[in-house]
Amino acid sequence: MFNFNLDEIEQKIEKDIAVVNSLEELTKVRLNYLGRKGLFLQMTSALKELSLEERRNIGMRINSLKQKLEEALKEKEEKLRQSLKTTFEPIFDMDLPGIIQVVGHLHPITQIIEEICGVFIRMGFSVIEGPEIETEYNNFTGLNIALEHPSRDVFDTFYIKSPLLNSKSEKLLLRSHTSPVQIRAMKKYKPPLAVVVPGKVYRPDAVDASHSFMFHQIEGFLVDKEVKFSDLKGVLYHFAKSIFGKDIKMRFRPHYFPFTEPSAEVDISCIICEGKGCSVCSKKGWLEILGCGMIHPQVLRNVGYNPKELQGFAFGMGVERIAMLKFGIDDIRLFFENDLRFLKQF
Amino acid sequence: MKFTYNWLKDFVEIKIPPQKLAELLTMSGLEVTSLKNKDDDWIFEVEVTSNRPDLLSVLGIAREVCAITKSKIKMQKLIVDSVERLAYSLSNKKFKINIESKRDCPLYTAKIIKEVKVGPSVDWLKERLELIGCRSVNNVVDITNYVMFSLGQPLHAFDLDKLNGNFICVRRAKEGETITTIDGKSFNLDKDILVIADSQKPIAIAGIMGGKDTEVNFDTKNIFLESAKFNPLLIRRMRQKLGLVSESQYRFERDADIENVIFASFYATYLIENIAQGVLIGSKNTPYKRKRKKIIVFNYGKVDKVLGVHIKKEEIKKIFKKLDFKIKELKDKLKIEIPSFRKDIKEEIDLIEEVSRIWGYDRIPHTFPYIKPLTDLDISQKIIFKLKNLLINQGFFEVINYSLISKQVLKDLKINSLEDLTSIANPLSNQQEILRPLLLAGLLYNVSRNIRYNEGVLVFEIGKVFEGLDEFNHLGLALCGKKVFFKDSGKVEDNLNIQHLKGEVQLILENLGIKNFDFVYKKEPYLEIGFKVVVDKEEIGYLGKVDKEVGDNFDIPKKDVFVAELNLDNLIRFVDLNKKYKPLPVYPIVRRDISLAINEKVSLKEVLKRIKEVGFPLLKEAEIIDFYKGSPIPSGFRGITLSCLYYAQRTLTEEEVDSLHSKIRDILKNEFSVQLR
Repeated sequence: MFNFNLDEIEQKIEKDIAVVNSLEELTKVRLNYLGRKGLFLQMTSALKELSLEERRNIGMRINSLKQKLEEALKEKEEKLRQSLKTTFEPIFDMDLPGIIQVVGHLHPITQIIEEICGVFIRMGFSVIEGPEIETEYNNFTGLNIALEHPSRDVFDTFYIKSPLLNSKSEKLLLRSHTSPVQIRAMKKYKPPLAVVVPGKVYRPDAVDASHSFMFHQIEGFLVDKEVKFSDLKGVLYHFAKSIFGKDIKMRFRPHYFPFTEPSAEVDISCIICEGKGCSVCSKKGWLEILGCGMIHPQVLRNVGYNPKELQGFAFGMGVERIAMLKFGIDDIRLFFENDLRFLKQF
Repeated sequence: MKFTYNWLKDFVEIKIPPQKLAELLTMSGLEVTSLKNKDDDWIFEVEVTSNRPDLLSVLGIAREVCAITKSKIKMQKLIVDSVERLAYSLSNKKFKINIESKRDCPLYTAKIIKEVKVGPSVDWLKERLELIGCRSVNNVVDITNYVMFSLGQPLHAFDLDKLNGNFICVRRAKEGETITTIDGKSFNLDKDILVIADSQKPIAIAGIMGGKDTEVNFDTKNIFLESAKFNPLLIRRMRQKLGLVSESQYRFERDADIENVIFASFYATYLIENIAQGVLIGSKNTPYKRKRKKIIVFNYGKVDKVLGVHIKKEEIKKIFKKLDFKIKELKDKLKIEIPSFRKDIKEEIDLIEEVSRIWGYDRIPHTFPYIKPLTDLDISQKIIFKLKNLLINQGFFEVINYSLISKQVLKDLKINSLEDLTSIANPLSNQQEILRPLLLAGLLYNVSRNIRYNEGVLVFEIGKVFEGLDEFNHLGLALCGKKVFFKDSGKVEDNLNIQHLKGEVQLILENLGIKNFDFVYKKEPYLEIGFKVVVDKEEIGYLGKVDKEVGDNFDIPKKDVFVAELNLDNLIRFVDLNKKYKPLPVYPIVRRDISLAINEKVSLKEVLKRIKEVGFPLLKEAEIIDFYKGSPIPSGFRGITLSCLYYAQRTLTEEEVDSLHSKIRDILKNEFSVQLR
């Protein structure tokens, strides 16, 4: 006996689907109609009790109803999935920390050296290095620094004592600046020469927040037939903008170094107060970052160059100072204490 | 050096406010480090560079101001008057000056001034000196100081009546002589010290400070005024030897101008006559040869060539004139006579600096030079860069330790042979007396400092170590505690041991393309277990576990520390950074694992070598993928899982792999007596 009212069923399907609010409920509805004990299977099995003609008519209606049902289910499912994406349902708790592979850190001094040398390398400079034990000649005399003159006083120096040295051998010392590499490089290579030299230097200064008996410098120099002071300005301006930002202002202040003439100290507008004056720039609005100048003709003569044919410029800067300015570090000793809590910050 | 705005205005016309003047001075090379307003004057403090002794005087600074503001020097009428009136003062025949060496003292002048009324200074003089931080003593001493700050020539006034005999000698001190200076300090003198002496004893340390016995005070009636020139190098050495500094010494050491000596003496005498009512009764100068005039030829064209900017001839000439240089024009050139006070001007380039700094560095344009890079550089920087990046990816922190250490540190490392150490002749303290012969000490300090608040410490340093007079780049590693692989996960971590250290060293070597390396047992005083790292039979470093006692010496609390140190300069000779592409496998790779127990005395390296030999050419790789010790593996044995990969340029059959693999198993059994599991 086939006692199903197909019109009622059609209405009920619509109603059932309309009230569904979740994918679980939708699955229940699907099973009620299309499952193994579902209504549609019951209907199709009851069909055989009908006459052939009735079977065909009702069968067709059942089929179209089933198709309709399937479409409605599909549509509803889509809708539910869409709304799932927009409503808040905790698939993963984003409050939990991300899991990060532990890596180490380069020392901030290395990072600054790489950054600064990188700027010069992109301009075409080459990086070379020199020994930390130097001769008195390369450190002083070759650079036109008289051994007994007030101009040497800023370069107090550690001298080397070794059983391998006797009273006749030339005095050796720990280089007090990276400039002796100028002498070495100019003797070794032929101009044109564009070089930067990073490295450790030593001066017998008592250690405090702004002094260290060991620190790092970067020296740079260019020797060629027609190197001019204006080139020095161009190169250093590019350097300062690359390291401290393109809005930086820069000024060249005449100064004195025995190994350059004319000489200058270079200031940048204070990166802390932007030139307004603060404690870092001692209210001046300017920060001194390096010394530079045209290589003194006497230095060129000392390495066997003819100053009538060759000119050059040179500059030198303290890496710790630049790192302290860039990172806002107020105590130079931190660089050599190697506290991981410090190193981790860079 | 300090001076005041009003003081400076006595010497030069200034029409700009002090702040503007400070900026102009700074930008022409005399950096104004502070500018303070006091009463109705301004105090300038400037940093005078060591090449410009002439700027240690208000007159010298006035000349600069004159050049940078295109102004005019106004010599005080007083000075002009004094020179005119006193220039012909009669020499005193009664008084004798004896100069032992012209080298030590090229010029000495004396003035005898009688009936002086010594007393407190007049207000203007007292105020002026006090503004620049110079204590007022009495009118005579204040005048000598005032003239020194004004003209740059140090002077000294003695109490004439306290001198023994009518005789002054400028000589080296005799062994055993002593002096007490006006600041109350006593000095033992010797032949390295130049003194001013009367007929009996030293009365002043030449150029540095006068003696207490002959100082001018309120009871003084008659004075002996000295103005002289002393050898700068001698004054420098005396300063170093005695540890005694003064405004006078500072100026003499920087080379005070000899042409100023007589002039300053006149001026001071004139002031003493006017302010302290003295009467000049005698004057005496030792003879001196005036130096030849210094003439330098200046080519206009050189300015363009050095500075990269064209400056008009007229402007250049004006700058030189304002700087008091005498010029003579030639075609495209100038012959320039340098005044004696400008000791820094020695050659043409120095004149170019004068032009550029007065004209203005800021007006020189920015240009960009032609740059040619060097090509034949060594690869060490490239290798160091590579290693640093490799190690930070492995979780290591880079450290930078001091290259100077104490001898005690080596004792703490139980290193006894201290003979061929390179040390510092003039260390600041015994903490920095030697150059480090290895990186280890610094690394142990780093572990000690950090292990207290970290579960694990992994650090490395690349830096110089010293041996004799040679220096080498070393790489040092230290590992201690736990290695945590993932931050905030807390799940994956390992207790660090020597196997991790070996792995790191292996990784470093393999990364540099070094294959033929080995670790050979070695005893080191600072290692409990130690190995030398050998590449192609050459020792290039060590690795191992730090000796317990050494760990205690460095205050590392009950933790094992693993360290390695490699000589990068030696290592570099074995580096091979060339890489060659190998085709990717196109046929399936067959993998067979073998689990076995093998006696600890059998070298795994030999085992791997042998099975690779036997398995050639189908066996492409054989490696240990698991390692275990302890039950159920019998003691004296280790449990190993070996993974064998077979491959050929065709599909291998099951049978041929099986037969080769069982051959390998047989070899393991028969030749190395392993227990297959």
